[in-house]
Amino acid sequence: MIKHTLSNFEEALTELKSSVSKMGGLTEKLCKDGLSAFIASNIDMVEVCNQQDKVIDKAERSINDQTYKLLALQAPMAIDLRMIISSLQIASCLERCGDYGRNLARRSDLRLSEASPSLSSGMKRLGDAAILSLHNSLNAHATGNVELAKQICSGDTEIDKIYLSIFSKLIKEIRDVPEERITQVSQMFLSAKNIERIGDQATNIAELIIFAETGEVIEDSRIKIDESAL
Amino acid sequence: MEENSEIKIDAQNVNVFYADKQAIDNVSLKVEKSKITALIGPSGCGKSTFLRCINRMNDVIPSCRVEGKILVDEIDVNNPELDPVFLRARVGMVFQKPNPFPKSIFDNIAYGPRIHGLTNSKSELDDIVKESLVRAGLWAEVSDRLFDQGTGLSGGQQQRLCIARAIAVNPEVILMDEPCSALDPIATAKIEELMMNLSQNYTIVIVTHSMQQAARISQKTAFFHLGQLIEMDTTDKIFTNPNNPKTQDYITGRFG
Repeated sequence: MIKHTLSNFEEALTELKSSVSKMGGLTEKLCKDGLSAFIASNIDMVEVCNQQDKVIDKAERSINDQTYKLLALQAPMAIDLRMIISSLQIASCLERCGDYGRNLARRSDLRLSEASPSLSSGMKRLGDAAILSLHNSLNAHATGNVELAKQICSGDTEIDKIYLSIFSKLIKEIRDVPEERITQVSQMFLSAKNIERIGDQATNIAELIIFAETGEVIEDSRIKIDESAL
Repeated sequence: MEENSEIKIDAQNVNVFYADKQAIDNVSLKVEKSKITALIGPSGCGKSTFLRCINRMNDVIPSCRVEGKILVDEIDVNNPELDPVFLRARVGMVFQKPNPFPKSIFDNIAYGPRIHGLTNSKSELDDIVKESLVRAGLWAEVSDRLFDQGTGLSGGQQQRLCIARAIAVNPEVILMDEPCSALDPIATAKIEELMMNLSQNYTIVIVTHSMQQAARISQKTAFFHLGQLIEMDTTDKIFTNPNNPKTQDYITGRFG
């Protein structure tokens, strides 16, 4: 793309994109760390993840500031306007992902590693798929790759399928568990939902990239297969 | 084009030359009735030249030659038998710099109705002057000094006086060539508000260098470059997701 005549505007746009990329990197790391802590029942990671989440929240506030200033001072149009609006929204998606990563770390005390091997491996599979989707969406953002973004949108149904299989397992389990374990299993439901939501947010980010690059608003890219969704 | 939209101006294959230099290159566009259409583009792109074709203001430039057809309703404005004075009463114009006559506020407005013989009595003329000033949003500010000089008003008031003068002869179309470029933001906002109110009864075509102005007030925007019409669409579309990369480069400040 041709550069702006106004170099300060060009620099501000480049800086905004770079801020989103950096926030994305931090968020991906927190999601990975949170998932590892959850799967390995490593409660030592809780505080580390809490701190990471605070840094991500701060990054979101900084991106908000950058976008407000650009909107007020530069009155952007067309592709610039879409890029700025989508940066604001992507930052919000990433902030949510950060919360999910932190929540997973906090649930490391659920001792998933001692639960049934199939539940544990299912959660890992779900987590790996969601984080891969997030990773890909961040790559698509950095490179403006619309094709990759479209693939992410269509790949979300796979994550939903894994989530549903875990959900069914937990439904079966909760019927037989003694009363004192009901809270623990309920927390497992929430953990699975958190991981699945990371995948959803990755799809949201992919849709925002398509909007920023082409102006096309993706509607109903996801086939709803999760009837359990609240 | 929206359904049921009525076309007020239909320009077909318009070419304009200043001596050997071609200023407009085969432009065809349609302007909808009771809408504001903005013409944007870099300096020298032909947007003002095109605007001036609509009421034959280019007639006064000897080296200027206009080809093609421009219909206002069904009237071909280039028909040599058409009296340009009659045409300009139907298709009024407001310029970049406010240009009131060196006469009283009253006489500025009364001038057109008088020369076109639109009134039969003094009271009818009084009514037209008042009505025009009310429509131009100036009545409250000047009603107690109608016989003061028009040139003594502020820049924004002078421009509204020129708009009042244009609408006093009951035009159907108002052409505006950068009407706010000499005005401060508040005076600009008043003119923009006025234009939006006027567009219920008049078809407005505005040339503007302010993209924000085009975005704020127009329903359709046409982008000109090097004498050609590059793209015309709804204003929403032009400023959020234009089809042509040239349009996008221009409105985002990447041009050239």
